[in-house]
Amino acid sequence: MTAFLNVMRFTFLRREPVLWLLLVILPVLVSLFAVTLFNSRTPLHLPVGIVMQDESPLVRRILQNLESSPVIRVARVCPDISECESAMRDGDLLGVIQIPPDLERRALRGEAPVVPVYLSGQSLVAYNMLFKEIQAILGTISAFLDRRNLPEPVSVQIHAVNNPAMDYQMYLGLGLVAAIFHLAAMVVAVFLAAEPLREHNADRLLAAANGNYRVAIFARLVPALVFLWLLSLFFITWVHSRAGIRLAPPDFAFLAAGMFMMLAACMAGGMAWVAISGSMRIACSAAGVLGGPSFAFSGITFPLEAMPLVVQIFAKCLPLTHFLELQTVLMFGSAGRFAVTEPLAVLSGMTLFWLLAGTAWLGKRLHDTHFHGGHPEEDFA
Amino acid sequence: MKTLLVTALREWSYFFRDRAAVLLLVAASLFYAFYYPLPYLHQIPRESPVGVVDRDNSNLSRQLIRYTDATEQIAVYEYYPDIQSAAKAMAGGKIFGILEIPADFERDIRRGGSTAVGLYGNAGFFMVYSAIGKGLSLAAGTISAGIKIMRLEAEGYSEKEAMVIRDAMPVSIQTLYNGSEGYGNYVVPAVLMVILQQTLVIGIGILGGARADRRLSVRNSKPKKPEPLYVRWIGRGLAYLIHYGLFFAFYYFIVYSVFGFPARAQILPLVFFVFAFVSASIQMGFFFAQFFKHRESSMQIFLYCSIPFLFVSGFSWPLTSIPEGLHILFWIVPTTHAIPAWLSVQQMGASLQEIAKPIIHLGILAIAYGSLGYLMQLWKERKYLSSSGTDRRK
Repeated sequence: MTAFLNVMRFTFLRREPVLWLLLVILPVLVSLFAVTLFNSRTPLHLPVGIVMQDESPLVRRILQNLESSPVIRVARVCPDISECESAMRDGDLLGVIQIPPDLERRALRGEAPVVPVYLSGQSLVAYNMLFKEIQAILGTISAFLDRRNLPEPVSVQIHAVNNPAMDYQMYLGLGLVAAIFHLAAMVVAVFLAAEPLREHNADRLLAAANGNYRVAIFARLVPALVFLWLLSLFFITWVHSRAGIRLAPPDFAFLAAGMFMMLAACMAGGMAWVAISGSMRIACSAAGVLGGPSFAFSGITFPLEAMPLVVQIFAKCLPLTHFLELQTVLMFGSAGRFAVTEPLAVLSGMTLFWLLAGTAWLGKRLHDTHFHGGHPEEDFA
Repeated sequence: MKTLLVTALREWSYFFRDRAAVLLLVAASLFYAFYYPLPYLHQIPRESPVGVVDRDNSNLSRQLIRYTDATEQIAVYEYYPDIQSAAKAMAGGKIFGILEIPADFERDIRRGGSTAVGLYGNAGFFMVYSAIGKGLSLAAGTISAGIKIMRLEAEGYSEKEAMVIRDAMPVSIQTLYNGSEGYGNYVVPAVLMVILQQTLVIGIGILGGARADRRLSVRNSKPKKPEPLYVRWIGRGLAYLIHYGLFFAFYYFIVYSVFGFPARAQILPLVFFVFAFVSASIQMGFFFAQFFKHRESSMQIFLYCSIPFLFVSGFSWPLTSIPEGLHILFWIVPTTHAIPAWLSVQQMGASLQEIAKPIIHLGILAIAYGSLGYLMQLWKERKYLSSSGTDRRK
C-alpha cells in the first residue's frame, strides 16, 4: 500500500503540465464544447431565400407561415434565382423557394402550379429539417386551397422512441462526450505508461514501487481511470438532466459500469501499445488512429449495417461502439435491460485481453536498463 | 532566392529522414485519406430492418406492407404479434422501427373515413430514423393518393380534376450539390480539411517541437553562420506549402475520384484556397510548436481538438444554431473558415468572389500567427545568443 501511494504521489504531485492538460483540462473543455454546441437542441433559424415572382395574398400567406416557423429564417428575398443560388454557394443560404409568376391565379384556376424548392444537400441535418418544414408549410397552404378540405385517407404518425424530443444534445452530444473520454483514456494511459521510458527513469519508478512492476503500473493508471470515470459520469448526468432524462437506478448502474469498462479497456489498450512499441510517440499515434475517428465508426451517425464488412469488424474492436450500444439500449428502460450483458461482457473481455497482453511486457520494459538512469530531477522517489 | 529554395529543399528532405515525420506528414495523410471515407462507401443506408405489427391483417394492410417493403429505405424484417415484443426486438438492435397498422384499417377506409398508421422509430439513430420515416411516408402517401383520387372519381370528377383537387399546389424539392444525399459526400470533404490541418500542425510540432533539437533554432544550425531567421522561416514554410499542395492534388485527383465525391472546383478559387488555408495552418503550426517541450506533446494535445475543430465549422450542425461564443472562440482556427470555403469551392463550384470572405480570414490568420511566431522565435534566438555570449565571457 505504501508503495502504491508512493508511486501515486510522485506521478500526480509533480509539475507536469502536459499530464494535467491531458487528464483534466482538455477532457473538461472539449466535453463542455460538446454539450454547449447543441444548446438549441434542434436546428433553428435556418436561412432560406425566396425568389418572389408573384406578390398575391396567397404568396404573402406563404411568407407569413415561413417566417412564423422557428426552423426557418427568410434571410433574403431575391429578384432572380441566380442571386439566391450564389448566396447558397457562399454559404449564406441553405435553400431557395421559388414562387412562380401568377401562383395564386393559376392555383385558383385549377392548374396545380408547381412550387420549386432548391435545398443544399451538403448539410444533411439542415437539409432534412428544411425538407420536412417546407413540405409541411406548403402542404398546409395547398390543402387550404382545396375548399372541399378532404382528409388524407391514410396518414402516418411518427413516434420518436429513445429520443422523443428529437434532441441533438441527446443524440450527438452524449455520443461525443463518450467519444472524448474514449480518446482521453487512451492518450492518458499512453502518457502515463510511456513517460518513465521516455525520461529513462523506470529504475526510480520501480524503486518507489518496491520493485513490483504491477504496483508501478497500476498505481499510475488506476487513479487516472477513476478520475476520468467520475468526470465522464458527471458530464453524462449533466446532459441527461438538461434533456430531462431520468434513468432508473439499475439502468444508471449499468451505464456507469459500461463507462468504467470502456475507459478501462481504452487505458489497458494504451498501456499495451506502449509495452509493444516501447515508444510514446508510436503508441500515441496508435491512440490517434483508433481513438480519433472512433465516433465515425461507432454506428451512431451512420448505421454499422450499412458499412463494408471489414469496417464493421474494425468498429466492433473499438470499445466505444459497445458502450454506445449499451447507452442506446438503456434508453429503452426496462425493455432494454436484457440486452446490456453483451456489451458489458465484450468490454470486460477487451480490458482483460489488453491487460494480459500489456502488463508483463511493460514490466519487462521497466526492468530494461536502457530505460534507467535519467535525470535526478525527474525522480520518482 | 536561391538560399530560400535551398532552405526549403533541405527542410523538405527532413520530412523523409525523420521517422516520426514520415509517419505523420506522409503516411498519416495518405492513410487517413482512405481510412475515413471507408465507413461511408455505400453512402446511404438502404433496406433498414423494420418490424410490423399488423392488427388488421386485411388486403389493404398487406398492400401497405408490400409498398413499404418495396421502398429502398425499408426492409420488412419480421412480423410481431404485439408492440411489446416488437419493442424488445428494437431494444436488442434487430430492427430500427416498428410499423403498427391499427385494427379496422381497411374497414374505416372503405367507409370513406381516414385512419393513421403508427411508426415507432429508434431516434437514437437519426439517419436511419429519418430514412424510415421518409420510406413509410412515401408508401402510405402513394396508397392514400390512390384512394383519394378513386373517391373523387366516384363523385364524378375526371382523373385530372381529381389530381388537382388532391394537391392544388404541388411542391417540387430539388437537392443541390449532393443530389444523392450521400453521407460520405456530406462528411468526408469536411473531415479531409481537418486531417490536413491536424497532420500539418502536429507534424510541425513533431519536427520542431523539442526545444533541444528544434532545427529552426540557431544553436543547431549546421552552417557556421546560419541564414537569417526570415530566410529559414519562409524557406521552411515553403517546404510545407509545396508538400501539402501536392497532397491537395492527390486528394483532388485520386481520393475524390476513387470515392466518387463531386469535384466541381474552378482552378482560380481552388489555388487561392489552397494557398490561404495551407499558409494559415503552417503558421499556426509554427506558432504552437514554440510551446512544446517534447516532440509528441503536439500530437497528444491536438488529438483532442479534432472534434471541436470539425463541428464548429458548421458543416454538420448549422452555423445559425452554434452559440455565438464558440464562433468567436474558434475564429482563430483555420478549419473554421476553410471547411465552409472548401465545400463552396469543391462541392458547389463557387467563384473566387463567393469565397472571398473566408479567404481573407485565412489570410489574416496566416499573417497573425506568422507575426507572433516569428517574433517569439526572434526573441528566443536573441536570448540564446546573449546568454551564450555571457557564458563565453565567463
